[in-house]
Amino acid sequence: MIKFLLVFSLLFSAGYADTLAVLKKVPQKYDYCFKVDVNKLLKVEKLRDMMDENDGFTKLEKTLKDKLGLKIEDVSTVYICGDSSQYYNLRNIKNIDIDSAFIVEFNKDIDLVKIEKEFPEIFKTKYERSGVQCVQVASKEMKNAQAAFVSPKTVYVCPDYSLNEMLDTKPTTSILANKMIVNLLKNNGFGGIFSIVHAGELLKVPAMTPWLKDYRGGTINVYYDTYGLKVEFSTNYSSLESVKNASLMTSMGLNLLDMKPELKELKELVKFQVHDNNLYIDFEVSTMMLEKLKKMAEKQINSRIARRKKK
Amino acid sequence: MKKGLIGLLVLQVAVLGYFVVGKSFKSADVPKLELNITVITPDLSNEKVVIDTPPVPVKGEDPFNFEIPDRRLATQGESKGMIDLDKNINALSTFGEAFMENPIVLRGIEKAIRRQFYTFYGDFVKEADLTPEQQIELFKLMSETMQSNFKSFMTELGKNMGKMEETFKNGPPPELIEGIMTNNLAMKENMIANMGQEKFELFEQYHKEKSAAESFNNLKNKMKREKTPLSESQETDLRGVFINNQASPFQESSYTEGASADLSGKTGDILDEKQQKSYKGSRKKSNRLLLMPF
Repeated sequence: MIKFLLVFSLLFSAGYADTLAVLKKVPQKYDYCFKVDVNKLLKVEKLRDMMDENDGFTKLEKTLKDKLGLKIEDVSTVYICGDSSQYYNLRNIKNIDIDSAFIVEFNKDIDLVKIEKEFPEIFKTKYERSGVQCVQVASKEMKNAQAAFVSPKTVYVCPDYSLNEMLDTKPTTSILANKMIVNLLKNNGFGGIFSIVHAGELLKVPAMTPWLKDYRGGTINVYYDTYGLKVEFSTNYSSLESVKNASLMTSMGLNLLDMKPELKELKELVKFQVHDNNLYIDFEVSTMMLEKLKKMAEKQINSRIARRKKK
Repeated sequence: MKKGLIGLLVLQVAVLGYFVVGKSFKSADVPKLELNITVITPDLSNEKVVIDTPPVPVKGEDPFNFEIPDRRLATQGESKGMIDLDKNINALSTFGEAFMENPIVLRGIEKAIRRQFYTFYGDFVKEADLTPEQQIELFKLMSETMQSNFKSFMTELGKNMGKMEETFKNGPPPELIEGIMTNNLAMKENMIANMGQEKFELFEQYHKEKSAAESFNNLKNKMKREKTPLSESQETDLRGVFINNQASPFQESSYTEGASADLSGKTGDILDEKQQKSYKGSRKKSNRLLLMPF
């Protein structure tokens, strides 16, 4: 009986702990984590089409097929973690050495032997570190990128100097040791198609918004269901005065929508609330409204093009 | 034997006493569970006191094993302790408040007021021969009034930004200038109290003449640019119309008699048809009436 309960509780904990298990392996030096739930994303054709406007999705599918021999449907979740401070002085995203880690989870087990046979070129650089099969990956964005096949369903991609840290990370040295991250996850959830959690201070704040220095962390969760698109945006501040200022700024921005009658109904889509030191901004738009907004945007773009042509 | 029994009894009491006293010492050594209760009093009008009680850690609980919910919990179902800004704070017209709380905006306003004081009112300071104390007092009064006027205007505008378009087209509607009128009339009272009736009247006259001259020069240049220049006699007549119809910020009637109405009807005999077209809408009674920094 005890054995049964033990096995049952382990199974139960494994059911909800997927994201948690991944976060436990993310080193504490990273202060944000971006999650793409590919399983949920693929169910929403509209989002897929939107992402594929510049062939981004098709390119991703091709890369997966070419490099790993996998279909996009085989990917379950992609996590991107990093240190937000490295983006402060960033002007050109290309050709810089970004210290970030990609964690890719698959729906099915990866057959390494099969992949190695199919893509011997990649596995020429094969080596083992801490008992984990690793290969070197050529990447313009990330110098000395390494891919580590840590389990049949999980692959890490990170710079060489972070790989040891990634492989050795324990819960106590993980991103979850940051209490703010834990609070944000517990309070705001992390189950969107796209979800991002960030904890930490902003090193530089615009002069127009000095209260942003009190920002301590936040989450963005994007959901899509039968109703339409929902975005939950939550930010936490160290002082209530700053929450007030943040809400005033939101209010100011929304009031500006009153200036044009065609934008007025957009104001109704945004709801914002304060709870303790958190500002919650929710954006809900139905599928019908989404179509309407798309048409509005197209109209605006066309009129701009026409004006440019006139000039 | 008896002595032995008595000795045994004493020993028993001593042992019992040791355990009883020892136990009571032990229980005193056990640390008490302390709850830190922090009372946060929000600086908001519709404040709700939130009692923040830190969770008592359960023995053996793993802090790294918790459930991550799919959605945000605070806004699901009943939202206790939630301050609905959309309904409460937003109704207080926060646009002006947010605008005026911004340090960059404040710096800009201060700069604009200082510039205006030296350029527009500089001649008055010389003409009225104000003492340094009076100059400081006038600047202080003007600065306070202009800041209050701007805040009042932006706050009212924040209630409905749609009024911005109306303001551009026909001048500010009455609800936007109600607060400004109160501020300007209060400035009048303060000026009289500080500088005397005579100097105030001089100031009011100066303000009217300078404002009319400024508006007239702007129009004259505009007509020149649009190739409908004014003749010498037209200039004299039109200048007279401008000065006679310049509204004073310190008279209540200026605000009630249609502050946004233009003076097109009074220039029909002076300007020709082309000039009338270029003049139309460029001259408002509200010019320099509102005492604003910009």
